[in-house]
Amino acid sequence: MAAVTAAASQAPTHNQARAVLRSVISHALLLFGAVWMLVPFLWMIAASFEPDDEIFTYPPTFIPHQIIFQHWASAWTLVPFPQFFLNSGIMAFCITFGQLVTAAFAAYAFARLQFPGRDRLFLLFLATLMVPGQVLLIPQFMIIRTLDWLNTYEALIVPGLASAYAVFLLRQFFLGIPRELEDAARIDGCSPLRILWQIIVPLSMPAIITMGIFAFLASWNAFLWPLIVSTSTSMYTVQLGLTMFRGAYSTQWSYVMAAACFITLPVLIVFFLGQKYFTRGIALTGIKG
Amino acid sequence: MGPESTTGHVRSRREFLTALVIGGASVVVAACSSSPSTPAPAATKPAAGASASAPQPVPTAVAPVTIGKGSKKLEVWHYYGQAQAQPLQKIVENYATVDPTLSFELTFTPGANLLAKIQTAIAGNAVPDIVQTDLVWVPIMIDSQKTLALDDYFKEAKFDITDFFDALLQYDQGEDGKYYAIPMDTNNIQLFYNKKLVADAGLDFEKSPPQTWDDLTEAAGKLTSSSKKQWGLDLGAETTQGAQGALANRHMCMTWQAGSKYFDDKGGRPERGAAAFNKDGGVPAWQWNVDIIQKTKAVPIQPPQNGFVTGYEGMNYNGPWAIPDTLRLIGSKFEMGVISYPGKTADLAGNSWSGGEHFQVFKGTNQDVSAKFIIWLTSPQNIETFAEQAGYIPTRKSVIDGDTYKAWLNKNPLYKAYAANMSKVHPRVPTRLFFDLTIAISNHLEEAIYQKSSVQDALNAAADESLSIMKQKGYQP
Amino acid sequence: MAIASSRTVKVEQLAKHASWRKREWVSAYLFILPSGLLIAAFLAFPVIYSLWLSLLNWDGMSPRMSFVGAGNYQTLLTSHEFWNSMLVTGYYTLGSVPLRMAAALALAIFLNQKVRGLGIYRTFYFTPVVTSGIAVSIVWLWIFDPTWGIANWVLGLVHIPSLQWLSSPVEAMPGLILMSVWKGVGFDMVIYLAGLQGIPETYYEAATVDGAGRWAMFRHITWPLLAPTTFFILVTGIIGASQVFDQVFVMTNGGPLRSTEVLVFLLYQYAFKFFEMGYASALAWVIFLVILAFTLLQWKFLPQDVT
Repeated sequence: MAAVTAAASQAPTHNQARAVLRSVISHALLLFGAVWMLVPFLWMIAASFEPDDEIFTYPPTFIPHQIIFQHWASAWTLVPFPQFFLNSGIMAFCITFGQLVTAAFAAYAFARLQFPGRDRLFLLFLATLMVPGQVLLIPQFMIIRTLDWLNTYEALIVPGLASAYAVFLLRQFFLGIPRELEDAARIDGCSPLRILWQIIVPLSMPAIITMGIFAFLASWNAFLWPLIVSTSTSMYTVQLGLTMFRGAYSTQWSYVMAAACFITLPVLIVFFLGQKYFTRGIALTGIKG
Repeated sequence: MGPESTTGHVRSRREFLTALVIGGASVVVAACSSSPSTPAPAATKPAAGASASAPQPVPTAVAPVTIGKGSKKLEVWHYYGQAQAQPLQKIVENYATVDPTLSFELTFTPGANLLAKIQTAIAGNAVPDIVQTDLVWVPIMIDSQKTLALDDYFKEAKFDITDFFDALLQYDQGEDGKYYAIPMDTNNIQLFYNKKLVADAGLDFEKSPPQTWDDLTEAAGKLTSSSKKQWGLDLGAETTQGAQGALANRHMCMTWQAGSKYFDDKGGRPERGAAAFNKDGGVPAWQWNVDIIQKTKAVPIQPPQNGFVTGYEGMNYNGPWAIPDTLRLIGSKFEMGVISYPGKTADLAGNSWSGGEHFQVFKGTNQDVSAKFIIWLTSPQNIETFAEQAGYIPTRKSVIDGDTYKAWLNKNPLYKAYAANMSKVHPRVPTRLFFDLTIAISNHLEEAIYQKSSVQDALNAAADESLSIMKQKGYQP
Repeated sequence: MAIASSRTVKVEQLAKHASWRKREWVSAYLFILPSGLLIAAFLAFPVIYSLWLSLLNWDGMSPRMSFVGAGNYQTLLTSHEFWNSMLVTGYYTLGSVPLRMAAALALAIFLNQKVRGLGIYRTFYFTPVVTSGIAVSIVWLWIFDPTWGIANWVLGLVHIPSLQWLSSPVEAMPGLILMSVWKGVGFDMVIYLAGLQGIPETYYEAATVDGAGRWAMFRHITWPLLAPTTFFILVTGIIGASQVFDQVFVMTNGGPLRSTEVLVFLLYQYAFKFFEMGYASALAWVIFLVILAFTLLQWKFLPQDVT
């Protein structure tokens, strides 16, 4: 009896020790991985504050010997970044909002509604992701030209307002929501519109936020399309502005690094804000099957 | 499903939307609040200890979007980065005294993308008035039949096109004999060296610089040290394709340094006929390249990024465009010098390709004023000013031979080798097949470097492929 | 009386059902309309135009055009460089996609706990996705540097001799794969996190009460309920990997010796360097058909819904 009790009281400690060890190892691995993820970002920040002759050294420096703020100030003013931030901001917000709305509707239809040709139509949507964009550049430019949208916000925004990728993402997530939640509403006679906006969307906040972050990121980072449809510097975006410090064969590295830093900030802010609303899981108390 | 969870999510949705709006508003406020009257930042200080020779680009105020106050706006596309765009803008501002009815919109596109942007614009019928291109693109642009022939305008302005170096005009003159572009600035490629490392190796490049390939191999060997992780010579990091078939560009220089042609003449015009690089000088040229990598091991296949400015390379194959930035990045670590790239024999040292930027006009409503403008832009005075401030070499013989430029070179000795060698530059297959040929040849050259094929076999295969490409594209060599 | 009323109820139910069905069709098409119309507007003409172009020889600049019918396709399918780049792209896709997904899933599961500070980790792992491409390429070129790079230093720690990495035809692709996994794992992780959020806590609670271990919970709850998410990441991962371009362009330019010459790099060369828009369009269509075939296979044989 005593032996059993003794063994019983030892076993939890042993398991506890194992659990702690596992936790320590996984935290260590996680930390190691995280540092790895940050290396280029940290280098970029360090380089933006260093004097020119310290940027390229072997081995690379991550902690500057002197801190120079002038690069940030110069990079901001030498090239019209305020204008570029405005353009990129407008483009990114409109596209994010547009994709969220159009994709939520289409995704719900594909995930939950029955109608003829549903799967075939969805595959058609997917197919649009499979054509390499480079060959579409010229004809898409021709469309913009015909609409007389060259060098305008419309050219930057409208083609991006819908995205098959966003539809796909949200459809998959909607598929994962337990059907019982909607069935109750259906029986009550709710319209698909109400079901979508009052039941599905609130339950899908993590996916919707994710999709929003991705849409924001993609439009913030867009390069080739804005380059082709904008013919004057006043319509350029931040990514194009970044390239203005690179001549054909030489580069002003300190400005490039400083600009790269402040260009990345908005996306990080959006991601961080989004994270706050990320971990609300689905509380499913009181469901009867 | 309890009411709390729905309300909870509704609240989170509202909060999220609020956060989004606030985030957006702050971006917009930040963007709008920076007024154009922000004080100009101080000029970049020249790096201490560097030779006082390099022109330091002086950043001034915000890059203006439009220059001039005229009512007729001309659209100019270019790829001059911020450092070169500034001197260009200053020059363009002066045109207001010549023709105040015009204003100019200078739009920058990165060099890697400008040709694609031009291609799209041509296909979509939305071309600018004036465009600046790399000189190797000019034959391709001429082929589009959308650029303007300038001969009549030259006559009207009494503009002497022959003052420009012939190697550059080989691109600008179409097959019909007419001129479609004017060279704005040029460059060629010679040898940077690290004075400290050279001295440490017991060499003196000022008294006895390497003048032949054998000299160079010896010097590179002495400058290589695996214990110090130091390389003797850096010939460029591009593998096969690089930006424009970089290996073929390198091979061309070396073939000319061996006294041979790369492509035969055609119709009296150089470097555009049948392949000639697989015989005579072209073969030992590439053999030398393979040997210094594989035998002497003084040249790395993949040089360390920025190896020269970090002080780990003795010599670096580079051009004048890199001098201002290189000096800034070196700072006070060491001093650099420039010598002519050695030839197979001493008299052939300095032979090189020519690079540079040319201006062209698109046919259209504004073609007359545009043509007059680029003729003014490439006047001797402007060419000289631009070259000195932007780190390029003047494209006019009269300028290079002139006293004021010679005086400038004395103050900026790093550019002397480039200016002096302008008489030894050659055009790089100045046809619309430039990319096809250089990339195809480079693929074979790479095989020789990796020793998958002997040099002669690789060059023969390259010559065969050149011929079939020309045939396929309807080009008569 | 009772029968009549039950029949009325049934008829009422059927009527409601039928009207709901009709409403469903109409709603469905209306819901899809905004997305579909926008996508179609900017893709329908370009896609047809590129199909037309693939039947021509045109350089995209000059007025010289000639009809070659299936000529471009014929040349393409018999060209050695095309099949090489198919192999290279396949190697890249097979190497990077599963690795990235597995790492992302492991990370997502670990970072899904409601522990303080994990939000910071999530941001750290997402940073590669947002870091400027210029900084990424400079640092990774340094990492792979044969003389100075950390990659060789790490190998040295475990007594493996230094590699040439990006300048070796054998090691360049593994290097690219490593870099792309690094860059993309945060992205997939975020999607998996969203998917994990969709799994009700109650399932895990019930399983714990039943005495299930962590592995069992993963196998029977997490993995099956993540099926739609996994399907998404796999399908889009393969679509994306088959069209990789930027990394190759910046790091290796298709070399050395064409060992990293992926399909879209070839396409870019033919469209914008060799000025063969017709051939490039034909190549684009072949790429499309290959990707479509693989996607259809996945559609048919993989679970995409929660069973």
